[in-house]
Amino acid sequence: MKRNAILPIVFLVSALFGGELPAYVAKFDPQLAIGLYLEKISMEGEDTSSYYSLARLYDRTGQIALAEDCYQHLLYLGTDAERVYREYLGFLYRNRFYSRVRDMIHEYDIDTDWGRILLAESYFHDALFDSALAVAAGLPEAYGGRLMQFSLEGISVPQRSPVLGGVMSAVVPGSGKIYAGRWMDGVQAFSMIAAPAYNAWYHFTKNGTKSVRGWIWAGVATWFYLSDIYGSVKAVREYNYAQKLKIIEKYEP
Amino acid sequence: MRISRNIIVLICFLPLMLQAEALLTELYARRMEAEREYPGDSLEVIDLALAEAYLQRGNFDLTRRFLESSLLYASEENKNERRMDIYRLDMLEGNFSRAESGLLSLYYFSEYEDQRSRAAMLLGIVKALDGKYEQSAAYLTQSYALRGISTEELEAALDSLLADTKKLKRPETAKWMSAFLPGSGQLYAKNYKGAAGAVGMAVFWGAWFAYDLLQKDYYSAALVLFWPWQRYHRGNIQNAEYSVEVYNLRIEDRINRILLDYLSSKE
Amino acid sequence: MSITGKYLKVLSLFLTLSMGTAQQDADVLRTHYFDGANYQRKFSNPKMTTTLEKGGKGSFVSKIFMEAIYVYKDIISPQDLNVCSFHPSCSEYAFLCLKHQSFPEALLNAGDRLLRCYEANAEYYSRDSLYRLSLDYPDTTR
Repeated sequence: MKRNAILPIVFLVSALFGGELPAYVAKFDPQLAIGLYLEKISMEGEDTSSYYSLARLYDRTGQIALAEDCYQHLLYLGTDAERVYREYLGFLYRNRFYSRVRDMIHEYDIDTDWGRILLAESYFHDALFDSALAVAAGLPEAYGGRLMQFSLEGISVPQRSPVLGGVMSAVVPGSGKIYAGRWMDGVQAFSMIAAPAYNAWYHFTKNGTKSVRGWIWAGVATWFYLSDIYGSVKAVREYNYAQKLKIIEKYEP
Repeated sequence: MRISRNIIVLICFLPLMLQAEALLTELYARRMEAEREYPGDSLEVIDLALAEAYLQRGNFDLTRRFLESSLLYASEENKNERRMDIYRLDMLEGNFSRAESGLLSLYYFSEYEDQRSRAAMLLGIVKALDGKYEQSAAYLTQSYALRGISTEELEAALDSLLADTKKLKRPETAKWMSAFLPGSGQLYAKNYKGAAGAVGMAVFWGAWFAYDLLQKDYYSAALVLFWPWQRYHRGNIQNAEYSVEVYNLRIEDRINRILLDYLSSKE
Repeated sequence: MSITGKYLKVLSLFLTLSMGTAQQDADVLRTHYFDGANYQRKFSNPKMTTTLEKGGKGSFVSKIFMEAIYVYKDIISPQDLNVCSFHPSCSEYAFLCLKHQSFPEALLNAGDRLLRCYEANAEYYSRDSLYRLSLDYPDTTR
């Protein structure tokens, strides 16, 4: 590709400062620093330290896919595999890709202490408390003790049945939401279903089953009734997740 | 070489991108050297240059960061100038009250005529952007007078601009019009889409109400009157008020653009 | 004085001179003020608090309903009061559901949202800092 005269100056300037310039710029303008690192790689060739810094900057600016490309390329380069695994897994963990953390640990058969801690914590953050307990049991007391204690708490957290919530809402509109811990939502749902149902009954008794408005109000009441069943199932699931989240948030140091 | 397509694309297009960034890179390099060896004067100038470069790119966060850093390193006589640059940035972001309070203190208490003139100019602009044109005219005239420039031409230009402010309409008029005739407030503010929506809703709910009354279904008629009809009637009044505000905003936008064009041509 | 020192003095002088001829205040404001997002928002529909981008992999029926909601937001909703206690509002929520979920699920989800929309629901949701309303986005990950 044809280059212009500006680039040698940039390269010279960067080279004069021993490659510290992109790291300095990163403190202020991460996007410009990314450009400088890319320029450094294209001028000087493959440089693993630049790729590490580039990946960290992409993570900082939220360009997750490009950060992942950098880590994949570092894996391909194959130098210092353990450092790549640690940084890549740390990146996935920080961005909450817990299932990918577990997949990668199993794929690369990472059997170090830090690998097992990360595996246990990724199970824990995905609320898979029994698996977290199993992995934490194999860790030294100093690392795994607290995790085991919170996993046990997580396993014994009371859970409610979403199916029961749906059935309750089918029998008495709004009761499923009360079962999910939202009594105001339940009362509101009951009144929002009862009102159009009453209107439908009013029009049908006044004008018989030919009444168009009766059918419209009946349709609205049916729509709200079915939505309430759907919403109750969703609300009970959210209740269950909220109970688990309380344990997860208590664990966060 | 197994390298992702995205990285290849970025590296290939880098020469075009970096041509624009060469100045920034140079400035950062000088800043790094200045921080290590020569603290003080040069950091003030370099930070100002960086702030100017980021302002051209529209990155206001970094502009503010470098202006504040430049203010930290500035000598006493330059501190007020940097403060006015920061207040100007506040105006760009829409924080008029913050800019105004800072500029007023500089206008009244600065020792240098040129700084007071610049503060008066910025105050005039901030008042204009805020819609207070008479106060704006007073400050702009004062700014020219402090610089010793004749104000006749400026006053004539401001008079012709301020004549346009008589076209501004009152929201209260639109509200009362819409209260009695739905859609008339929006027509007053030349919001034809809003007027159509208002008339449509009024006709729809009114027709439903009238039909229920004709059918002697007083329960349904009351339901329509006290639930959707009254809500859309009050919403119509609110929309009429909003339509007049947007109408006024468009006139003020035109006045402000002409005023800023005039002032920048005279600088 | 060292060579680097002289270079810096020359650079400082050059920068000071270039600052002197840099854009003046009215010019800067004229260039950057009118294009700002905050300023442009004043002229747009105040009821449209979320960008409703058309598209998505929905069925034909979903697309019809999305168009209907868009027309409602554009013409009818400005005539109504600000009664929704959620951000995004119930119609915008329905639009997003139709875009990202199947039609039956979107219908039930939107109906459930209408059942939950009342003044006193703040204790069940986090608060949006800009609009001071209860935050409730649909699940758009599927």
